[in-house]
Amino acid sequence: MEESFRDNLMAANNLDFFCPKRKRIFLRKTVLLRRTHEGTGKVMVSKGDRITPETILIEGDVPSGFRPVHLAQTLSVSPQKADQYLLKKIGEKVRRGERIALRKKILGLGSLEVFSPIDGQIKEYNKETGVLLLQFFSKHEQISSGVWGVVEAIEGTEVVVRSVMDEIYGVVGSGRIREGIIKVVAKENDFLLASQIDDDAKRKILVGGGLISPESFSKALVCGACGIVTGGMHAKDFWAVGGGTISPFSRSSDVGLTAVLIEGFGLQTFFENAYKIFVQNENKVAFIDGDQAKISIPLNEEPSPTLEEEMDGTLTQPEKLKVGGFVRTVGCFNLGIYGKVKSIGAEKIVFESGLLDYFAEIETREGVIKVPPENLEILV
Amino acid sequence: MPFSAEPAQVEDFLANITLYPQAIPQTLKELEFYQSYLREIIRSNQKEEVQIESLVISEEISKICRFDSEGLLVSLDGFLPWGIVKIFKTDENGPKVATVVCFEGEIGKGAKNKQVAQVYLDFGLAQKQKMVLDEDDLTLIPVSAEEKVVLEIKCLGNFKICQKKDLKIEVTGGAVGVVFDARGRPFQFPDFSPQGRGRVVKWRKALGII
Repeated sequence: MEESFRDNLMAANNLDFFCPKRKRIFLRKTVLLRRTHEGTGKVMVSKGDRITPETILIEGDVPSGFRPVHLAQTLSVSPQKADQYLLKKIGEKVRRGERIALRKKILGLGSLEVFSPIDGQIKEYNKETGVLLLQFFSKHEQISSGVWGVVEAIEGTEVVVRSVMDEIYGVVGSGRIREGIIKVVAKENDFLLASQIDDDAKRKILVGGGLISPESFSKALVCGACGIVTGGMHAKDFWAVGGGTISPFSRSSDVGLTAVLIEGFGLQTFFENAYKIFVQNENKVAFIDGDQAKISIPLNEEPSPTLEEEMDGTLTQPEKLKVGGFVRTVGCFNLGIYGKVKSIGAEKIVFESGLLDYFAEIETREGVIKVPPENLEILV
Repeated sequence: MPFSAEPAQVEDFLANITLYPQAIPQTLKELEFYQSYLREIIRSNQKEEVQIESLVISEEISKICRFDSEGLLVSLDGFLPWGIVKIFKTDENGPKVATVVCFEGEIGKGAKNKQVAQVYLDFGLAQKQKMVLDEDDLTLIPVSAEEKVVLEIKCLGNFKICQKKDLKIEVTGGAVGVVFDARGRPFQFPDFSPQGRGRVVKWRKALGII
């Protein structure tokens, strides 16, 4: 390979190599957590209150969804006339299975009936489409804090809590924010098998393994787990079963289970330092956020009065590669090998691929390896 | 690719390369994955095979190629041009890599003895060299960028060059040389069978890529 623009740039910089810097583990981080009620909830706490995970922050009714019923079509009449056959008025409550419309045919030749498919109330009838809209009964919901901390602010039906958490970032995830109890089910580089998941997975965040199969993912979903944190997953399963995306222009869809991949796609050994934190915090409550590929573990500690300006775990910044620095390999076939920079080569070497490039010697648990600087990420 | 790969391995590679686009291949197998990926990227941006006069092997392609001939093959298979194509490195004022003669016409359509063309090479010596090009072959003649050669091409069967049956043209070579691409246009892509992989290996060998 001949000298390229990149080589010239490096030469001009006296062989300073800049790699993306990322922070993946935040310990005892003071954060502002927002807890919101979707309905017209009543805030139960005041600014400055000290709270525990069990403290109810907001409670109130949450409006539920609607169910359309094709009234005119079922009664075989025009949309303009179908509401004449309603047995209930708009706004009246109905029970599931209750008869809500009846049309008797001429000369007593039978009748056509419509039954309510839900428990709810009749919301409205559309004379143009012939569709009757039924609304589910609203649900009473209590939003608990889930964390220790202090109420920082109250904004409408949103309570902002200052709290302390350990945060662990993976590289990619899917699904909305969920709350669950950490359960370690596999070692760092094991396959996360369906047999390791049982009914005890309900409301748990399952942790461990270097690869999760679609069968294990589906079983976790059926067993009621709320999250999965694993080293890797095949890309096809991540998209098809996990509802994930790697497009920067779209968000993942939620399949009822939030997933965070700590390393990337394929069989990948779970980051040891992160794994240890999960083991230490087993049976504790945590939040898992697929879109940010983040797991937050609330701590019972006094939050700092100021928020430290720290880099976001989802972002990277370029930083000079230094001897002694902690790094992670990001080569597609050598992903997630961790170690310390032992030396930075001043000359190019030929790698197994046949490509000529500069190198850094990385001291890993398995020995010293030579890696091109492009294939390194600096961890802080 | 010249070897078989599990679909899951290819998908995982493609997903990981999206997460870490700056990474470069460290193993030979990884290099093949990268080159195939780039070929597909180029192809997916091409609406159709086109007649072009020159082609540039970009910095991105050169970065993951050991030799100029590898960069040439990635570009050729990505763009699938036809006609007489001059290939440069980095930009059109960069070093010349090759002149490629790409024949139009489909392979496997009953050409006599599966031959695409007869070519006479005139280096200005006492005698011209005669060459017969077979279907689905790549043929490399080492000719430098400073060296001139007159090509007298007589197409056979349904094949054409620059939409003509016969063509006489003077060309120069490059770091790789003059390459005759008799794999036909529209190009018939190799399938996943051992025969398909064999075709890929044959083309690589023809350009000295092992």
